[in-house]
Amino acid sequence: MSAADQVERLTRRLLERYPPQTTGRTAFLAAQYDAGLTWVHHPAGRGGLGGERDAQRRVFELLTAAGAPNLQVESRLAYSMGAPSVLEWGSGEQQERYLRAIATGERWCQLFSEPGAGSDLAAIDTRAVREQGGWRVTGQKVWTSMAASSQRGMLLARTDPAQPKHRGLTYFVLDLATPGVEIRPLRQITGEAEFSEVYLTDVLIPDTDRLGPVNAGWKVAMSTLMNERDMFGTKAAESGPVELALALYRERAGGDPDLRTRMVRLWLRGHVLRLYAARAARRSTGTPGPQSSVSKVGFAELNKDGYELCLDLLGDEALLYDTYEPDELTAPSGAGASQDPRRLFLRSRANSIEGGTTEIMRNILAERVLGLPAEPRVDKDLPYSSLRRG
Amino acid sequence: MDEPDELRDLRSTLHRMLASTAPESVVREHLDSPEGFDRSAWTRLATEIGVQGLAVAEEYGGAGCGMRELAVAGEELGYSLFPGPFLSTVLLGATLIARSRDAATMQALLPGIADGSLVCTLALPQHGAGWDADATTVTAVSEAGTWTLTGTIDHVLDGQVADVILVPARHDGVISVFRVDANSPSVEVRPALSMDQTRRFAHVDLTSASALRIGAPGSARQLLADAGAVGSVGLAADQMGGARRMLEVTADYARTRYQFGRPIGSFQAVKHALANMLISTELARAALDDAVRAVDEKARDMGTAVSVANIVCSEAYYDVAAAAIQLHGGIGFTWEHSAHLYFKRATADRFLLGTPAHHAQRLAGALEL
Repeated sequence: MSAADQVERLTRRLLERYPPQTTGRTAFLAAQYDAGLTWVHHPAGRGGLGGERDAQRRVFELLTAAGAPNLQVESRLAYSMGAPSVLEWGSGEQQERYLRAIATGERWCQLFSEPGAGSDLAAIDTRAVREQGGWRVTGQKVWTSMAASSQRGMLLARTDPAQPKHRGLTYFVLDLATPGVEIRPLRQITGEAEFSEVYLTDVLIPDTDRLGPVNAGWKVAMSTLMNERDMFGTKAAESGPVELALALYRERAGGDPDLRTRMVRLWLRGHVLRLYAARAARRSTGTPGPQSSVSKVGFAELNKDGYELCLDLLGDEALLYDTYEPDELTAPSGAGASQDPRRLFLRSRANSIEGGTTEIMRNILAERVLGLPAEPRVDKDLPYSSLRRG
Repeated sequence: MDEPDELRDLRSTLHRMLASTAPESVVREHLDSPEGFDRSAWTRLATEIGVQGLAVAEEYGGAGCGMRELAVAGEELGYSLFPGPFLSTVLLGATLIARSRDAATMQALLPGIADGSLVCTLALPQHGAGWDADATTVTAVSEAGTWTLTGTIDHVLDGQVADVILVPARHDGVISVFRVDANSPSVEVRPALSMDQTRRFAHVDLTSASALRIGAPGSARQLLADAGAVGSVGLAADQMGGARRMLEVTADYARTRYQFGRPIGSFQAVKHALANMLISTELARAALDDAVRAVDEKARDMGTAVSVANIVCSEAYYDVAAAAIQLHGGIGFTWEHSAHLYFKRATADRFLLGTPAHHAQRLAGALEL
C-alpha cells in the first residue's frame, strides 16, 4: 500500500471511530493528533507519521468533506508557523505540551514586529530580563494578527542589549492570559481591526516557556518566518482575485479588448503561480526554502493587480464602499469580513508588506539563491544598545 | 534539478559535449559562415548522443522517446546557443513526418534525420505572427499522378541548408502538406540576413516544383497542430536554457564586478533586478514542465498548456536577456559580449511559432472570454 493510501485509510478510520457530528471538538482533535494525522510529516508521537508533507492536503480534504475541524484554516498561525518552530527548537517536554495544545485547537499569534522594527526585525526593543524562575518582559508589539482570539503568542524579545542586534534575542511562547498583557485593536485602511497592538508591562514568563537557547532567538524566529512565507504563498492561492475578476468580467466587460487582454494576463499569472506552488509542494521535504519567496512575491503582486482589475470591472461602483464600521467587519477570527471586491482591493495593498515585504523577499532570493553579496550592514557588529533607531 | 536519472544523464552528457564542441568561440565562427552552423558538431550530436533521433521511432533508427527528452535537449542547446537545425528538422520536421503515418515518407526521411545527415524544414507563412495552415498561399496541382507546387514562402527557418522542405499547399479546396527536394532546379532558395545571428531564414520560391504529398489529403491542419505543439514546447525549452544561462552569467558578473568599492551585486537595485530574473526563470520552468507533461500525455489541456508555456517562456527569456545587457553596463552592449547574441535569439524566439500576443488570444478563446 502506498504512503498516500495509508494516510487516506487512517483518516477514514479516524472519521469512522470519531464521527465529527457526534464527537466533541477537542476529543476529535486529540484523536487526530494521536493518530498522527495533525501533521503527517511530523515524527510519530508528535502528531505525525513521519510521512510526506504533501499528504496532509488529502487529510484536510477528507476532514473538511466530513465536517471535521480544519486547523490549517481555523488556527493557521499556530498550525503552520508555531508547530514547525516548536518541532525544530523545543525540548521533548515542550514539543509534547505545545504540539498537543495546538493540535487540540489552541490559537497562537506572532509577537515579532514593533513600531521601530518591521523589515529590520532584528531591531526589536521589547526587553526580557532574567529573574527568579523566569523572565520579566516589557515592550510593545504591533501588526499582531488575531491577537484578540489567540491563547498564546510567539514572542521575540531582547535579552542582551550589549550584544549586536541579531545575537541578544530570545524566543518565548507567551500565555496571553498572563497579567500585564494588554491587546488593543488596530484599525486599518479597510476600516476593520484585523490586527492589534499588544502592550507588555512587567509580564512574567516562566523559563519553561522559552523556546531554544537564551540569545539564540533570531534563529528560532527564522524558522518561523520561513514557514510564514510558505503559508502566505499557499493562502493567496486559495483566495481568488482571478476567480472574482472572471465572474465580474463575464458579467460586465462587454467585449472591451483592453479588459480582455488584462483578464487573460491575470488568469495566466494565477495559473502559473499555482503550477509553481504545486511543483514546490511535490518536492518539499521539510522547512520551506527560498522558493517560497518566489510564491510570496508572485501572489502578493497578483492579488494587488487582480483586485485592481476587479475595481476597473466594477466601473463607477468602485466609487462607493460597503461599510467602514469596525464592529460590523471584525469577527473574532478575523474571517468575518466581507468579500466585497472594494474591501479586498484595499486589503491586498498589505500583501506585499505583511510576512516580509516584496523588497525583503527580493533580497532573500538574490542573496540566498543567487549568492549575491549581502547589503553592507553598518549595524551588524555594534552592540544593540549603541544603535540609532526609529 | 530534480529529474529522473535517465534525463539527468542525457542533460549532463549533452551539457558536457556542447561545452567542449560548441563553446561560444565556435558558435561565433559560424555567425557568418554560409551554412550557419558546425556540421561536424551536428553529426556528433547525432552519432554520439542521438539527439536528432530522440523522438524518432526505433524502426527508423531513433530512440523512440518523447517530449521530456526533446525538452532537455532543447534546453541544453538553447543554453549553449547552439546554431543548428534542431527546431526545424527535429522538433517540427520529424514530428510532422511521424504524425503523418505516411510509411513511404517516414522510410525516406526519418533515418536520415536520426543519423544527422538530412536537414528538413517546414515552410509555413507567418500569418499575423500566428501558426496557421490556412495562411498558406502555395498552390498544388496534380497532373498525371504527380504533384507540382507554386508559390513563395518568406523567412523559412534553416531554408539555406534544408535538403527537404515541407510545404502546406492548397488544392481541391483543402490543404495538405507536401515535400519538395530543396535542390531541385524549380526551387529557388534566397538566404536572408537574420537579426538573430544564430538562426537563419531564407525566402523560398517554388515554380511548378515537383512534390510528394504527405499523409491524407486535407490533413495539413492536424499535422501542423501536432508539430506546432512539439515545436512550441521545444522552443520554450530553448528559451528556458537561454534564460538560465543569462541569469548565471549575470549573477556571476554581479558578484565580481566592483564599483564604488563594492561588488555591484550588493546594491539593492542590482539585487532586485536579478531577483526578478530568477523569479521569471523559476515560473517559466513550472510552465515548461507542465507543457511537457501535457504533450507527452496528449492531455486534453494540451493547447492551453502549450500556449501558457509559449507566453511565459518567451517573455521570461526576453526580459532576462534584456536585463542581462542592462546589468552588465557598457560591456553588455558590445559585440564581444555574449549578451547580444542571447538577446537577439530571445527576440527572434518570440516570433517563431506564434507570438505571445497570438497565444494570449488563443488562451482567451479557450477561457471563453
